[in-house]
Amino acid sequence: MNARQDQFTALETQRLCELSSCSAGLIRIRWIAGALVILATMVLARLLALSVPEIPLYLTGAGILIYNGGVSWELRRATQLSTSGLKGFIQRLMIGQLVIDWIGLAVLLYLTGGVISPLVPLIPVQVVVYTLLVPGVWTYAAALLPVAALALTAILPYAGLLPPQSVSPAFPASLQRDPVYVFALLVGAALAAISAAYLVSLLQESLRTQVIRTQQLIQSNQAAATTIRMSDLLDKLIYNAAEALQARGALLRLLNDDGEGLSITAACGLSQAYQDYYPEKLAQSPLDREVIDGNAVIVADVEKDARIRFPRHAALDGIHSLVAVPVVGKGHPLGVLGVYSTKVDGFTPADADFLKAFASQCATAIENTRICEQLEHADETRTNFVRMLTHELRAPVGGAQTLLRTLLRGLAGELNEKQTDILGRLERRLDALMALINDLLSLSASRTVDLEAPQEQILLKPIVEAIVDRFSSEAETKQINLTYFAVPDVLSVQATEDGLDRIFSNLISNAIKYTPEGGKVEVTVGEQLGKAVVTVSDTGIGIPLHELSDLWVDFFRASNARRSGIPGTGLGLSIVKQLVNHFSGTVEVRSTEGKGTIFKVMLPLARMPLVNPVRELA
Amino acid sequence: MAKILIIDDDPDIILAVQLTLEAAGYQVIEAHNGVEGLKKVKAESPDLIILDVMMDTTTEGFQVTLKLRSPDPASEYAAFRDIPILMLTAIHSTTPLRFGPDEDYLPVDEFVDKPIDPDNLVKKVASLLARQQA
Repeated sequence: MNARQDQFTALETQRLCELSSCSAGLIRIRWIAGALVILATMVLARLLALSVPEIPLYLTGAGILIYNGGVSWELRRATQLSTSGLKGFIQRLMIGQLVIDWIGLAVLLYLTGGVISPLVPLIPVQVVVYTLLVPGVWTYAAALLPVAALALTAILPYAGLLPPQSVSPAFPASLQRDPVYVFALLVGAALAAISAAYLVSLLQESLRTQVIRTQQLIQSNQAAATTIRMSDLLDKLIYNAAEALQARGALLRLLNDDGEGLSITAACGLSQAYQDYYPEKLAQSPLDREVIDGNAVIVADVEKDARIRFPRHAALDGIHSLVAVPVVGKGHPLGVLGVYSTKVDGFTPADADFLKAFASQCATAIENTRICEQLEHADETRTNFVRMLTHELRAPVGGAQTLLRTLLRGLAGELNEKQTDILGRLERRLDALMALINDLLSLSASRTVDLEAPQEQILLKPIVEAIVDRFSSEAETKQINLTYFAVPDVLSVQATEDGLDRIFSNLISNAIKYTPEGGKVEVTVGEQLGKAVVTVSDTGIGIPLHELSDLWVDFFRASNARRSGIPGTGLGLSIVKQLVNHFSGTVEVRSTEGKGTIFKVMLPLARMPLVNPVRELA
Repeated sequence: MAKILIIDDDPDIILAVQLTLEAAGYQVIEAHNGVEGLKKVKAESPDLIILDVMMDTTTEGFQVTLKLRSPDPASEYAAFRDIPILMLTAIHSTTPLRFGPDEDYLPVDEFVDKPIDPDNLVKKVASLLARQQA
């Protein structure tokens, strides 16, 4: 249930980042320190001719540099480790550095005179470094380590275990043996170390909190931009909210449609038992009522707050405090976002304000999804309406057409010339109306059923061949020479059979429709630059150059097509374009008015599936 | 003179089919829904049935076909199983469904799209009847 325990929490990850960036900083400082020790010894011993322990100091400087090289090499190795191995590795590396640095400082201090060493001001630097590196209760112990090093350099010579050292006669060696001075110095240093440790950890803590919050906000922003399913997005958002406040878990509950109750929509870090105890009705939960009314609520201790009705349930999950803020949509409450901590008094008013940022992200996600759903529903309703309407229109118009044809054929008695002419006009008007209805139906169908149908690998040539066949009698009637040519290769594309049928039957039927008697329509299927290419060319009326760009718009018809009296709706090409785009292809047109038009449809070739895609990746 | 049964809920289509086929010399009887159609099949034993695919309910035409063509020897329409069926459709040009005469799914012999072209109808009726006699 509690996935959060299996992975790194944001806090741990942040500490790891701090440790490795600290290591990198320390390495830079050590390069300078090692070089400076050698340089300073040279200046003191050679230029100023002072009696310093020259060789041990050179060795110490060289030792620092060599050891630093080793550490930086090790740290580089860390980048190759897995996340789980990284934690242990960085910690071991840190402890190693702490110990060796401490020895380095102790040796340097001893060689330069111990309590009278001019290097004593280096101690606070190490105190700060140790405070940064060692977390929790050990911070203060670690801060005192450098002071202990100083104490050793005083005690060991005093006890006669090591010979006393001094860098300059200006520092009176008698001070080294003065207990009052030594004691006062050590106590002062210890006090300074403790205060520094306190201030540094205070700063570090607040910095860490800010860094984590910023990271979680960035992450949740990224999630909002890249997550499609609302439930996934809400899960991520509340996870980020819990991490940002370094809490145990979070719960997002949304108002039901009746506005009387709350249902859990997303949860993280809390047991099912705890989630189940939540009352659904607002009337039973004064705390939720308060939040829904627009207030942020902080419960410092669940056991002492009267608004918490079942503190024992909270104790099951170790929850001791919580903060809850309203999730507010455009002016109306949507629900409650709560974050839960195992600490008593785990949240401040600043935390509540911060949580509101997440609540507003949740609100945006929810509202966007709801708007999307409404739009989809509206579109579906409209499409269904158009389909229903066109179906209902087809029956009477088809009936009228059928009756009219029997009349025109003289099946209900001979007609005179005038009657035939009038009925012929009537037939043409009805044919145009039927074409419009068919195109509308086809358009609404292509916007629903077809675009959602699963695509498969389809052999292109049989489809085009069948369509050419279908139109051959129509072409013959109009004395149009309809030719078909295809390359021998096997070409398959990723599409739906019906979609391909619609694309090419629209193009071929247009070509025949707008080509005068005795003209030519040519259909070819081939391959070009890894794409299947189907061209439909005609010697028809063509399209005026300045109208070519409008060709794909719903209901657009070229001016010469409208003048020609040939019935049409201007929907065919818009359907073609929509379907070709849907199959990731492109369609181009070239035309010369009065000479002819050529349409070129290019569709990506479907590849055979890889035998072993996994190996391919490796 | 061949006897043709037209089953369609649209009286205008019935009238047009009647005018067309009677002019071509056939006897036409009519039925306005599936139930009436099946009754007339039994009563009149027509030589050919013209059937609208979508009547009041979208599956009525299919159901009539399936009853007439039932392979069950005990079927009450067993005697009429071989009557050719011509189906009137209005959906060929508009929906993704494509049918052709299919032994298993839709056992009809021929399709004519609405609006009906009289010449086309007469041609198909004649060829179905010729096939039946051969």
